[in-house]
Amino acid sequence: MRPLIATLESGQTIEYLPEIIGEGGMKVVHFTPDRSCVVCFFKDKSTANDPQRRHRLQAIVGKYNPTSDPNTGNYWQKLFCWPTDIVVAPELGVVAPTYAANFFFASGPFQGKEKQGNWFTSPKLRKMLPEAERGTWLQYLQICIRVARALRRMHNAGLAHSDLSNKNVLVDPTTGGAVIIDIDSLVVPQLYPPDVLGTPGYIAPEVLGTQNLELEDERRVLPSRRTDQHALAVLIYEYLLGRHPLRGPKVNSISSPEEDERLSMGPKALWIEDKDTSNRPGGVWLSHEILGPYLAPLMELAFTVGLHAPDERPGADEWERALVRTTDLLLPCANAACAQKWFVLTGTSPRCPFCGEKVRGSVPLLNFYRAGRPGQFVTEKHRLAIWHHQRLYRWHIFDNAFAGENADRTPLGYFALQNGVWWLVNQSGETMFAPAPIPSGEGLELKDGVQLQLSRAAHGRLAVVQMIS
Amino acid sequence: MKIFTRGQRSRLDALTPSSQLTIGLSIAAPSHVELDYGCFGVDDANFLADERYFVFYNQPRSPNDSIALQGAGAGDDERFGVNLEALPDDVRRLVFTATIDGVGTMMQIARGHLRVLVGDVEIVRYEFFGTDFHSEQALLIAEIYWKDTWRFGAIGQGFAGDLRTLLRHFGGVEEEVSQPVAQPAPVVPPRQPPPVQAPPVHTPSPPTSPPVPLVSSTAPPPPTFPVAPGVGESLQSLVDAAPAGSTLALLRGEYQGPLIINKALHLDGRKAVIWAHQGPVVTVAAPGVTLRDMEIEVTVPEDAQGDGDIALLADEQSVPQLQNVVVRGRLCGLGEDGEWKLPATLDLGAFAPRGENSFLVHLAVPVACRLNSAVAGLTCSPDELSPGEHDIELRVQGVSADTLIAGRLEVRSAHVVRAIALTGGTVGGGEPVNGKRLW
Repeated sequence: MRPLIATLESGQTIEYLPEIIGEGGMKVVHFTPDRSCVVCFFKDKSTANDPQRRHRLQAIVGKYNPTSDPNTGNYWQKLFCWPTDIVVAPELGVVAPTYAANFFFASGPFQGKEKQGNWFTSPKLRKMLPEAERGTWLQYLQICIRVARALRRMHNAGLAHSDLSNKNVLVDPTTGGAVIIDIDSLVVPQLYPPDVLGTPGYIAPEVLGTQNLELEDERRVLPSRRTDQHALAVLIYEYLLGRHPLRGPKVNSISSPEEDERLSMGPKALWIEDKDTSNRPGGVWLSHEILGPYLAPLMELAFTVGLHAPDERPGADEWERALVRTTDLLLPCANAACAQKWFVLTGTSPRCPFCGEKVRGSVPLLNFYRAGRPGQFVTEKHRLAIWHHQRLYRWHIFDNAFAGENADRTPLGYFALQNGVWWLVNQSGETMFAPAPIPSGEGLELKDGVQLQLSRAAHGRLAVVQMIS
Repeated sequence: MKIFTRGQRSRLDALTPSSQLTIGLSIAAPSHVELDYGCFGVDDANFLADERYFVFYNQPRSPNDSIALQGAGAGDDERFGVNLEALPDDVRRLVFTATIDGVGTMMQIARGHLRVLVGDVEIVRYEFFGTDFHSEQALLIAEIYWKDTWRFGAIGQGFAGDLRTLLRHFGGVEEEVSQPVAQPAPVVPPRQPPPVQAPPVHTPSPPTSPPVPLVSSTAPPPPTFPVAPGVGESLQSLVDAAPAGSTLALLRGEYQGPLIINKALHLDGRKAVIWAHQGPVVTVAAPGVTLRDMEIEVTVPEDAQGDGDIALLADEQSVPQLQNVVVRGRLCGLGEDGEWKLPATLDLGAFAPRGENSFLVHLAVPVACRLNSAVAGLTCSPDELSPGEHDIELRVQGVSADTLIAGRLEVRSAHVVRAIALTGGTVGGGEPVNGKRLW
């Protein structure tokens, strides 16, 4: 089939295939002949003629585009399907990169379909997927980190997604990858209001509660960064706990399912783990407390106070930090048959919450202290759970390093269990002290109470070994 | 493509047979931080003998285009083209630098890189981050230098000063000019550097055309340039190669000994640490040696036999000058022989937060010393010690709860500082400690 020609705003042209490969409420989508990009046309011609929409697209493709940053652009290209050009003929539209191949099912009954999050968060749908596609709990945590980081980047630039949901986030649990799509609907401040209210299940309660008011009514609440924060909290809850945080047995209206949905997700929204147990599902299920000491408080904030008070919601940066810190508390499950394979250490009697398997043997923890006054180190109330072949990184050794998009991921040490003895091998290039020197290339046997200075450089941490069993 | 870390070095012929290279530089910095990139072509003494081999925005080419500024390239803010075969014999080191013009410090940068390309193929990459630096305004990023063959080394050293200061460091001075750069100016003949004991391999040749009026040489002592051992090299090999009477400055870092210095040498550690499992870690076997600004440590257990616990050893005719040298281990031959009874470590254990705690240690010193605590809230009484044995009271107070101590007690004699590691803390501490004997 002969490709058609579209004209870009710059005057250049681009070829696209006539076949429509996808269609949503706003756009139809075509591949380019090499399938590296998609050309999307807006269906509604009246909005296509709206100059404000054009200005918004120019802002999105231009100054707000994080993938064009010469230093971090490569990183953001993996997290966003960001439009790269504006199409002006034959219709208004955008050019965007194609999703990477790993975001399509490679095998099983849904081969070729996009990996939307609901495939993996719904227990019923998940059972239909091949084992190889399901991933482990570690990959879901990585997915959450990527989504939170991408949203943080967006919010830092003053943008709001406005329609964050499991349909607009493709995930790959085999690698922990995630990509946010539908970027052309972003809310650009002072420039263009949102096109849509969001997706059911992810729309913030205050948006649903005011959706029947006129657009000009100042009481009407429209999507914004605050509503993105609600959607992000719902997504993280779904990815990590496998269920929706607000869908429980409580019925808020008997007049119609639509009215019940509007109330249950809107003004009457109630967390299924709230102290008010009227919306609590029956049966056995896992509490948010298994998420550990950093994520559990954020969940409580997001779904109690923050549910109906948008200003109280945790920001994307808070979620990102808590998720990253939670990775330091991960332990592998000793049960080879456990589907989740990883869990968060909570308390000092570690047991996998997914299969009940207890941790075998002793587990070392490093309790971190950061430099205060000269010669003094104060507790950070943060710890690193150690497992065989766990790595030590720069953000463990220095209190001013963070495992963000710019992080140096060179391992600076590793831990090993050998003949029942736990070791740390120093690979940092500098001597550590316990207090005897441990030069680079040498090892330290981990024993309870050992005080280990990870670096004597500025911001170098002190760690105290704690053995639990 | 080979990734280099700070201090790493390699022969260039192990990376590429080509002598025509492109050096690409890029630094990500806040918008208010303006960066200039430069290349200094210096001689064996790290001296800019011919100012035409300082290539930067105002002098984009050296003679014969041996070094040429190429502007921005794909992925690089600035590129230098280098033709090693076109360099004169006396230019033995090309140092690639970045300097901040105006306000800003290098700790504000996000990250940067220097890479070496042959054609379009990247063969070396060295990356660095703002967290590697502090308040410096310049960076010595990497160098290509001659030592039997051409070699590449990643430096990654901050430099306190701007472009003018960096120029002076290499022996040049910026002149005031009232005319645009492109105008010719009177010839300023380069000043010959002071002679060193090891003669240069090649004699410098006079300039054949008027230099660009930017720099003229002054009368400096030869600048010292921090170095570190390359791949397959040791600190000993660096010392052996240094000319007698010269100054060898080390890049800050850790160096495994043992080290034997058998010639006059000024060794400037710049807070480097020289260590070994067994002593003597450093042996001074010649007069005229100065050791400055370094730590010398032996990691052997306290009950080691023989000379295993010696950190620094000097014979009678070879007592070195020591300036700001901290030692963990025994010293021999510095005129401070005698009975030293000092522990390697003092563990205060758990003590009460906020209140006052006291501990006792018994020390013996053969010479007059002063005790200095590098831990906030810890004092020693007495802190001035005459030769002999002493009961010292250590008082710790005002330490918050859940706080650990990791510092040192310094015993300062006339020549050297001996360090005693201190540990302990208020984690789990209960009642105040009163007069607990530690050692």
